[in-house]
Amino acid sequence: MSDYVFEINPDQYLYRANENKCFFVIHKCRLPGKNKDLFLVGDAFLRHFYSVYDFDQDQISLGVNTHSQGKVSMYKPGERPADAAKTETGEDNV
Amino acid sequence: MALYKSQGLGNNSDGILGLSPHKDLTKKKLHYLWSLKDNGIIDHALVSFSVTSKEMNETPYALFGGYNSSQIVDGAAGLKTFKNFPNWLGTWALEGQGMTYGQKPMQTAGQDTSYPAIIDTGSSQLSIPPDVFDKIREEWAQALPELDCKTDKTFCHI
Repeated sequence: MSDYVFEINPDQYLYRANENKCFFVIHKCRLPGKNKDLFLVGDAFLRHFYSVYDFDQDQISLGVNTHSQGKVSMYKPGERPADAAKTETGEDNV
Repeated sequence: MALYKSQGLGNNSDGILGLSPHKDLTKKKLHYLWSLKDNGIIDHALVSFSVTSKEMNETPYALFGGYNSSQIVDGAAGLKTFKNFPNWLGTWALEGQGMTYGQKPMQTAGQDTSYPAIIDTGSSQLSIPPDVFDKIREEWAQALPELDCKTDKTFCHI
């Protein structure tokens, strides 16, 4: 997004509903018309990134929230940090 | 700071607190953030959020007038700034440029991938365009043979 990569791993986009069931918190946008192609960035993302909204400058600032350090990362394309969290999906993450 | 209950919101209302970027300068006085600034309650027309979930053992908060650098990895230097992406909804947005699953792009090569990525604090999930979702679901299905995306229209579950 906006020339930055925001990386979230399965531990963050899978929600354990109970002992036997996990849900993906990523889902299909069901808005009608041209709104169907929107990305809606909800709490599944925002709880990991501290967000600042500047009304004077019309800017948004984002940074990794300290409570999510090591769980998510943000970087410029091609500059993935060596210590970024694992991204593979598999049964071991469920 | 007082909160108040508002009833009978009209068709043109865009939020209870009204924290979307307000472009209509004739209505500037009606905007919550500008009112705080104009009345000397805050110095800068900023609002910031630390959102949490219950397993994080932290209290979520909104901070009017500034941000808490101690809540950000690497402090103020860890904060990256983006121009608000213009969109027909008039809300805060980044430019959604696509998704990858691992290193694999989830959009068709050559497809226009510039869509608003609306900041939606009222949603608990992450919604993505249908074409992108269908591709990522194929990836999940390969990785997780027991995946069920049919019995519940809201979620895929395992």
